[in-house]
Amino acid sequence: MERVAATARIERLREQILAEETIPRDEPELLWARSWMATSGEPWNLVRRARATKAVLEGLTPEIGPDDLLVGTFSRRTLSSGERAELERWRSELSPAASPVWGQRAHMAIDYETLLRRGLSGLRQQIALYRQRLDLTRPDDLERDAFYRACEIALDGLRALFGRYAAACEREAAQTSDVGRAKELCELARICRRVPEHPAETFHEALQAVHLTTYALCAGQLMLLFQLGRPDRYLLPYYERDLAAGRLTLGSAQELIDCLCLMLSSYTPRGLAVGFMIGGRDASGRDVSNALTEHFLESIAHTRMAYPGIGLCWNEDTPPAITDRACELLSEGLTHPAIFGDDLITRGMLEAGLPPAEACLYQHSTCVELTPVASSNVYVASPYINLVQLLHDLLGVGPLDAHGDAELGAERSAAFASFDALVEAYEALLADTIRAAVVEQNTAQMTRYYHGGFPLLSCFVNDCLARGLDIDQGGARHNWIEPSFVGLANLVDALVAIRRYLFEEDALDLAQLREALAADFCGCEDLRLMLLQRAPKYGNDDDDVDALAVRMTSYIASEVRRYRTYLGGAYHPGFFCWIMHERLGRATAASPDGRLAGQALGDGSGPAQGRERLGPTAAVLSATKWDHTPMLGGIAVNLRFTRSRRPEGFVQGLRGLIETYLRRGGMEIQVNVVDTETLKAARENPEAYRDLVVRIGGYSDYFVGLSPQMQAEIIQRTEHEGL
Amino acid sequence: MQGYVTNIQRYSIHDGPGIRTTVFLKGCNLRCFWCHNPETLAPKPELQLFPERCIGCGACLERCPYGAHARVNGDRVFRRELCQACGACAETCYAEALVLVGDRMTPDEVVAQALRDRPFYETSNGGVTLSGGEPLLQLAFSRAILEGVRAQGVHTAIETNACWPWERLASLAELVDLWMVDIKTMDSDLHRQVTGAPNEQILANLHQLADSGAPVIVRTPIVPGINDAAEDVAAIAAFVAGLPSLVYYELLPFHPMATGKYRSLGLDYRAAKLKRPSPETMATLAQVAAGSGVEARTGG
Repeated sequence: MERVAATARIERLREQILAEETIPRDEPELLWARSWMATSGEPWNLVRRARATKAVLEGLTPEIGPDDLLVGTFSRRTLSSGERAELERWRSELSPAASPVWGQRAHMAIDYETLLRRGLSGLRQQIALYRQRLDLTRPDDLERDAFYRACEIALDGLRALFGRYAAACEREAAQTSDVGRAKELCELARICRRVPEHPAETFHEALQAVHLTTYALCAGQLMLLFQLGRPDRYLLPYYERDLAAGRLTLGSAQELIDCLCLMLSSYTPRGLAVGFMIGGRDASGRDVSNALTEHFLESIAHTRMAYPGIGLCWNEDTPPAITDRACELLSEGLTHPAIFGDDLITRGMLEAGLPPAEACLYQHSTCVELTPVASSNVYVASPYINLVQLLHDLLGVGPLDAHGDAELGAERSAAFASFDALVEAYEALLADTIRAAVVEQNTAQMTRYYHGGFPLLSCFVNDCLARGLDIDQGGARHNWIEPSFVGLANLVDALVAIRRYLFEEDALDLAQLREALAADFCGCEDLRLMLLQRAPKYGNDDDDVDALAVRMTSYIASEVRRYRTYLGGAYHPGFFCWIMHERLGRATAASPDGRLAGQALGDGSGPAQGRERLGPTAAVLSATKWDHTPMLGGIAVNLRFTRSRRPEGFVQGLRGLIETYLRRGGMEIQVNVVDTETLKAARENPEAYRDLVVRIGGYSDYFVGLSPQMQAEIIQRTEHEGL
Repeated sequence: MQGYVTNIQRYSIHDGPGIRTTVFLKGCNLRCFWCHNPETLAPKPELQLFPERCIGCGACLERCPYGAHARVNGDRVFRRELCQACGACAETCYAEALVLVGDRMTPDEVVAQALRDRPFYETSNGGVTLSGGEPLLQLAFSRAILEGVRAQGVHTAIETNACWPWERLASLAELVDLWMVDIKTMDSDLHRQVTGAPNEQILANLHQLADSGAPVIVRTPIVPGINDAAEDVAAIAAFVAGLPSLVYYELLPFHPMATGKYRSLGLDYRAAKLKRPSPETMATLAQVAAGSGVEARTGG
């Protein structure tokens, strides 16, 4: 496909988003609060919540920027002092008195394909048919009827929001003296009057319906982090039709796609991630990559933002032009796309019980956590479990307190007869921890079952309408929970060091090690360096070491998958960390791998930072010795490089690394190309580098917005030399 | 059989096609004064000392059987003349202030390590590169490594200075898929001055290699004041243009980053004050070379 350049409009939108702090989301919360207080007589919780959603969507102030080709974002207006007082009272007195609604929200992609194809009118017809079948004298059906009424109310709210935007566009069109802009606004008004009420007909209509509905799910339900699923599939009919009809050019299509990506970025708070996926096979095994796949890939170069996070689903039939372009973008220092192993993930989905038609339609749901699109109610990264602290618990080394000190507690076992006995004790502790996490997460899901409910969302997640059940009450087809385990590399490295120096060489005893860890190696730097430099480390293609990673990951997978969620779904483990490697590391005492107290844990599923001595090939080999298939909770392997002076060889090398990783059954790999000098300069002079994006534990973020500790950590971590 | 290996570098992407593993052997017959890899020159193990990493634990003082490490007036000193490069101190130096460079290895050990990255060679059409030092200095060792790699069907490349009787090169001809040879300068007197040997043999070998049809990449390290003038490169390019099996001609800029390595070995670096040629100089020289009709590349 012919490549087009980013337009001036895209550059302006981009500048504006980068310059702006996160838009406040006070207005929807205030609207929700007012509705909630006014509907206390409503007997049905779901109806009451739907009314609140409708009130928000009807009351949101439309926000239209001068360059917007797609409309819908949070209002930038500041609340009046009266409104602020009202909101404050809600937050401090009224909201805390309500029943708890815990557990994770969003982190999923709705059924955009149905939204576009059937429109809200189609959904309403469907609901009417379902309601006709109910016998309201039966308690179950009475509940279903309330759910359907709630859905209808929520859909009315969504229609009202589009109507308000249409009216606002008409008003602005009448006021502007810019003839070209007036025409754009009139077209936007026409679109917002038509979709999503009716099925989309044009590409522009489809994009607007997708964008504003996604925004409405966030604003209207006080949620964040909805993903866009597989837009290069569900948008393709509209794209092809418009292109053939001459309504669209490659350039105008690209600009609209760039706008979609920027709009998504504009209302996502800093530090969080949203995204979508492109490429991959369909249920028949055919690779679906198409012109839209290339447009979305190109949007990475045009928008150059931390979000949306774009995942490329790679398989042996991915067109070489797409793989090459992806590697080129990464070698230029862009942090997207992340590359996902399409066949491996599909196999994992099949093993999780999905039919082929769904197994090929997964999505990374913010960072790398996998969920099926269109039918998910999955709590991802729930919770994060610190694997190093568990080892410390076993050894009797407490977490760091506010002063950064670790207390020595009782060891779980006074002495371990052998290394194997120690590992078995660790596994027992791990099993207890997983069990406790299941109880905690299922309790959270229970609060949602009794007190939650998201009727608007339920309209777009299969099979809530068919079952007549809200998403919080089990309406979704897939009700998984995905705990994520942080610090795998540190755990393996620590165990290897313990094996060598406590059990094989008798160089130190457990008491000495405990004391050294609690004292943060104070006065025994030589001991720390011995543990750090001399014990072999995960990530260096050392079969003895990597075998421990195999053992730990397979143990975790089998333990986690024993349990069911409150709604009856499966538990799937993950090994990624978002920013938790830094946060959990900050509270973790020095560890037997030679890591100092408070330092970050390993940032994903590859080697810990600075521990890969043999370069990226060895890291890739180590990281693919264990089975990624069951780890639907997500795996992130980071490759870090200094910027190359010789780009040709670099792109070719990168491609060889990525393809080998994927062919060996790797789930996800991400690349960060940056030089230390740039990072240091950005730390000194953040203003000049506000668009510098770095890859962290499975997601991307703006470097200058990170904590000083995180910045230091990124500067310190390994860079592959000699490029 | 055992040989001396400096380092086995995985994910080498600029020493031949694809992703490669480069085996750096130890020992060289030339003494190019700008050499970027001084740790590969001596054909035996050596101790490197990086004082900035020392944490003062004193383990080396106790471990050295020859008294090479000592404390004099409270300062730690290293008397290289007493060092037998036994490695006892490096073994206990967890801070890696003392590093023994040069491993004695069997060809099988080298081959086993070099083949660890085979999955990457298959994906990227890469392979194994033998480099140095000078691989032909340990001819039998090099030969055994190449045989082992070749037996697995993996692509082989060799970086040699070709400053040897033709028979030495010829003896490896069937085991090498790609040759990489430097021409430092066409001026033989200057060549002798800056490398310790004249260049006639190298040039004759290059002709023989090319005539035999063996793929050859010719490279020139661009060293300020030695060969960075247009006429220097033009003369080399004219010669290179006459090699029928040339893959391409590559210009590599001198860089002063080896200074720390010389210091760690107790060696004097005569090129320490030289500057890296600018990207503009490199581009101009590449254009000059291209003028002779060869495909000229610049590397980093």
